[in-house]
Amino acid sequence: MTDRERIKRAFESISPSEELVGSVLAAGSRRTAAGTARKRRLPATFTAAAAGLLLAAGLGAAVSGTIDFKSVFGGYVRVADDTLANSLMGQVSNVSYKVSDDDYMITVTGVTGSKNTLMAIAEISRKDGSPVVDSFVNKPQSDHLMDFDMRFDISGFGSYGSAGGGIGASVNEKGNIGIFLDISSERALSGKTITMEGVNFYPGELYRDFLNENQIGKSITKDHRGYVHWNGGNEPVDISDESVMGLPLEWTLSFKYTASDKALAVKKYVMSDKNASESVSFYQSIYHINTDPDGISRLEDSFEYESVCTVREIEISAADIILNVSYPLSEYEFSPEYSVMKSVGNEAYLIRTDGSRIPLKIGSRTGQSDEENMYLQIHLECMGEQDSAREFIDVDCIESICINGTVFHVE
Amino acid sequence: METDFRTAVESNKDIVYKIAYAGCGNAADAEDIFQDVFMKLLESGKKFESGEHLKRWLIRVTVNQVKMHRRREKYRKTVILDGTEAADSSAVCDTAENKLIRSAVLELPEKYRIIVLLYYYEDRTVKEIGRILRLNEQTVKTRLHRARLMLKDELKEDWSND
Repeated sequence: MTDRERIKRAFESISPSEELVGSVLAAGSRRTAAGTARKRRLPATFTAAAAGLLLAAGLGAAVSGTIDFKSVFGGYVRVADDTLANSLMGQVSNVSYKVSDDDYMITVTGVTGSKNTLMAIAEISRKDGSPVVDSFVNKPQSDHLMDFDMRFDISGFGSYGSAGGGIGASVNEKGNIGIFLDISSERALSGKTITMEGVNFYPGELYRDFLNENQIGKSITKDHRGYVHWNGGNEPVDISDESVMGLPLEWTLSFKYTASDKALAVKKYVMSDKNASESVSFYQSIYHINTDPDGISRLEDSFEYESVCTVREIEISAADIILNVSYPLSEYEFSPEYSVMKSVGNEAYLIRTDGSRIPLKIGSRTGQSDEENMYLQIHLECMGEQDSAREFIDVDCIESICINGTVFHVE
Repeated sequence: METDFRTAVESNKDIVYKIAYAGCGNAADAEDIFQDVFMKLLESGKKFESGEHLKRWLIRVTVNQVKMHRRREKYRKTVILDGTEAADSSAVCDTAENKLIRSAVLELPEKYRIIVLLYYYEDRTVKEIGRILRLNEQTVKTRLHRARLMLKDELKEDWSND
């Protein structure tokens, strides 16, 4: 048998399922019937992990009482004015959780953000009030180490191009486990049901090192996962080569997030013929990577590259700025030899009505391309001038946004 | 229009899916890319000179979508790697030899995988692959050569380098 025949036979069985083809054909029929060619996407066939896997000894619903912004999010984001800060607290509803051990409960401490951004803090605690850290036990690595998992899912988003961000856990000042979710999306998060789930907790560097050593050759999944950081407690954590402190627990939490009216308020710039300043330079750092036959990559060269972007729309809210641009594909964009970094060398800031500025940091980017152009949605966040801490703002005070020297007025 | 689209899907579903699968290495992502590619076809309203023209366009868009998918994953802040792949039901009943060959191909770096698939499975010439992937012929030849060496190293007697 020739190599060609071997490859053909090996890949012959890799084919789309009838359901998948059917879903595409059905979408085609709907599109034809509608007579339009609007964007975009089919409901994905796969969603993130099913909560049904949980053994669910505990089942309930809890949300914390009235709390102020600073006490919940003060460590993560700054807001200049307390009244404004509290007006940005979102609503939590339809809370439910399951845990594999009935001694534990989960509470949503608070949510904030905007239409496209969500910050949420939840707490896993013991019903008897004792600190969760007291329940951490020594476990042989082989027992549970591989099982650590945290992820989130957003209702209706499917698995593709949904949201960027992260989920993490730490031991809070009460000795309980704090879960922190910080995500942004090209699609509205407000009004969506968020599900977080996880298996087991392990503190410390040992686990992180373990993951790093074992990630080579594995595929990147669509799910977001996080690390557990050991922040608190005076007791040293006993981590030896043979064992690691851990809490065996399977949990899931879901809730509906609704942004406040203040958080939903936006100011916009929309491209129009009347506005002359719709193009802006955008700088990219291009890294030329050479990979030898053994798969070892080396940086050959790096240089700055300027793209002239058409700014299609800018939307500014208290928690984020969403910038929609397009630009012609460069020869570097999809070349395997080049890596393109877009956040380097660009300067952007908001300008208040009093003329003062708020620096912006470029965050996550999502995009798609056709044969000629890249269409990119860039997510920017405000940061303080002094310490670069993330900041939420009052959109009513914003007059314009400046990107690499080009000013766009918003209203 | 609907008939054209149906024909386009039926005629090209296998190669689009195989490239998506080879590009990202798992069925779940391949399914997402598969949907996106055909949605792009619908949205494009593009007229094609022939079935071959359409196929080349679809292959090119699929490769782009694979790259976009990988790029999008890179942007995410707290993503770590994981070995759990979605079950590939279509390949469950396959022979051990087929699985071995497929696994060796999927272990290749992404830029080699798709070239191998186009060359060996799709019977494309080096010149055609260069046009589709927008690479010069020498680059395609070099990558094909390196891929063969890797496959020989991995598969030993199961790969003859013919």
